[in-house]
Amino acid sequence: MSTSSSSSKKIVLKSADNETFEIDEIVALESQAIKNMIEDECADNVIPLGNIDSKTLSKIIEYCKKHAESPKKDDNADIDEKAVEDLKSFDAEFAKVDMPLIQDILMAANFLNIDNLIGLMCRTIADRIKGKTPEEIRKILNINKNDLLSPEQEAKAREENSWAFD
Amino acid sequence: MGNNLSEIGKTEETVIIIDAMDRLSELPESILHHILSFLDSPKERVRMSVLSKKWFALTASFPILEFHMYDFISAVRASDTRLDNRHLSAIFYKYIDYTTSKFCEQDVSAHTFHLNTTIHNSTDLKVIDRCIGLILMKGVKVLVIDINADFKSRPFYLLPYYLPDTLLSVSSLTSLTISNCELPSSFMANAVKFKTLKVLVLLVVHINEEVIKHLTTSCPLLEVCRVLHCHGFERFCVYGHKNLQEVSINYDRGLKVIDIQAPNLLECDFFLVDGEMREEPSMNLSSCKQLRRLDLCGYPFPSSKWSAVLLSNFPFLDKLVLNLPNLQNRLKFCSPSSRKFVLETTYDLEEIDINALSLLLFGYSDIVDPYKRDSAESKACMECYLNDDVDTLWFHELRRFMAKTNSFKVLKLHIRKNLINVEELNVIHLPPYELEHVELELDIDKELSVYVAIVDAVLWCCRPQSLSIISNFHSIDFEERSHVVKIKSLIFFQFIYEKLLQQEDQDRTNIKIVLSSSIKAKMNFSNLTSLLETLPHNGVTQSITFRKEEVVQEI
Repeated sequence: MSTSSSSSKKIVLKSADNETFEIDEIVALESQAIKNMIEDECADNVIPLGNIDSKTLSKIIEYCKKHAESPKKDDNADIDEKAVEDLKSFDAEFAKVDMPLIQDILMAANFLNIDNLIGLMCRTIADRIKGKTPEEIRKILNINKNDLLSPEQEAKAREENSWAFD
Repeated sequence: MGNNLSEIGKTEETVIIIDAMDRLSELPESILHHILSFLDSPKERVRMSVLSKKWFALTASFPILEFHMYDFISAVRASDTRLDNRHLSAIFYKYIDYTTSKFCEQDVSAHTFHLNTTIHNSTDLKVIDRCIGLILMKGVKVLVIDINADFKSRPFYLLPYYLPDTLLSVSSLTSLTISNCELPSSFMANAVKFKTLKVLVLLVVHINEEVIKHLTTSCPLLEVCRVLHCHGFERFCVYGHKNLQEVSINYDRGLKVIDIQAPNLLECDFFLVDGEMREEPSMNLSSCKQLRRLDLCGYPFPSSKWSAVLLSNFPFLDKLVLNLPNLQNRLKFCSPSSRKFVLETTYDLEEIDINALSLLLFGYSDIVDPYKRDSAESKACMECYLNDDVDTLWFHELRRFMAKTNSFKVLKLHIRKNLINVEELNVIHLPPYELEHVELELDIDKELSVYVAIVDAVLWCCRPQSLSIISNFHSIDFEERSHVVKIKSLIFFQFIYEKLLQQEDQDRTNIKIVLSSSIKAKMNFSNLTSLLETLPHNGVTQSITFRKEEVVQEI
């Protein structure tokens, strides 16, 4: 199962700030977008990722490494339970970063099409919003004043569902 | 060099500016909907809607619309205790109306519309009818409509609610569940355009044989069909359906005919009861050669002739659950491919012959339905649920049955009632049947002496490498932890310990004790007293395993 790092094929990713990351192909394949590029044979040795900075990219590689290493579901029912637990606690630790980085990771994960990571980041954002008032949520998400509903619109929406605001 | 530095400076500056911005709004709608999917309570949704113009639009276009009256009312009541039921119900209907109309103003079709509610008056009904009508016009993939009537508001529960005629032309449906209301009144007169429908569930819906025919022929892609507690038909017939994989019927008014011709049918679950105890229905599944699982329950049901046909007819049958009354003739089960065979019956074990080479689970039970959970067996296992009293004779039969079948490695016993006269067993001299493991679940509220008697009987019957006792130990009142109780339980565990040792060469065997109250926590013990000190006293189910181990001789 385990691919020795010396013999396996390597892929090089280049971040927006021109830092390069050499990773095993199997790790890169966690990204559906890179997978497609490789399958269509339109990936050069170096894949430039002009919209992902190195801080975000190294986080994403950390995630993909862990997920590529861990045994996939229905390989073996016994291993499964432990591996799932292990991955869960990894994900929980992984998500303990500040909001701007979470948003960067989410945008990059969307660009690279890494399904599990999109889900994890969306859930993390939702968890930080849960139970908060709209005012608090606006701060968390940095919502621009110009984007607010008009006072009349907002008052109407609140009145229609006054039970949701106590 | 200087150039580079200034560039780096620039980048950082840009990053700082970006960080102060609402970056999420740059993401596609589907991702933002993904975030919303985790904020699934009505309250969170409404709060999100007032954040900004963007989020107002995003909540409006969220394509999964779910309305559960009970959950809604409980949640709102929890935050505002002053509201009475009438008010809460009115708020709920207003919320359905508001959310659905807002959604239908958007230029998208719905993925799911799930409504589970109770009608109190005609205004409620009007709201529902309008909202369902709107959503059907928009198009929807998964539709679940469950409408209960409030039995106190009498005139309304007498009136069945008919779904709008427009339902029949919603070609986007992939899954349709209708519960406690009726198909459109024009159903038979219209073409049904469910060209992509895969799952159909009808629960307490009036249908007749023509409706079943019309539905199944109009849904060529139908894979799952569940008809539960529906009335108005005596025959359930489906002919030449290539995609049908699963059929469930739950019927309690004496079904006469089941005739299913579907070459790719994999699973059948029939629960049929005839209150007037007329004859069993005639059943034809003979063309369903792919059948993997068959679950038959009910009364009166089925005859021995019928079950013989049944057992020989399906080459790929993997799991069979039969609810058979004792018919005073032997039951022969012969199926080389079956992995799981579950019998819910009052048949004596003496009357059953099993010949199934790949059998992993033989379930035997005198109650209905204990095996619904799927356990992953890796070794041939016999699992018995015993709800009635068991006696000497039963253990004797079990011993002989295991020897006769000669393929089981694991025995699981779930005992819920009393034990009668098992001490008589000790006068019968038979070597115990050798097993790898025995699991004993004791769900009884009895004296410890009963526990002791059960273990005695089980170990008369077999000689396992390990024995697990699963129980919440009602009779050991750990709360009190009195000296007497401690001594009693010590006697019980000591008894198991010694009984297991007696089966082996005592100088060469050790018994290891493992306590686990969940998968995570496992504790090993070298002696019984420390086990007793550690047993939690909160009445949770515990599993205590005694494992025989060979002593490594020191030279």
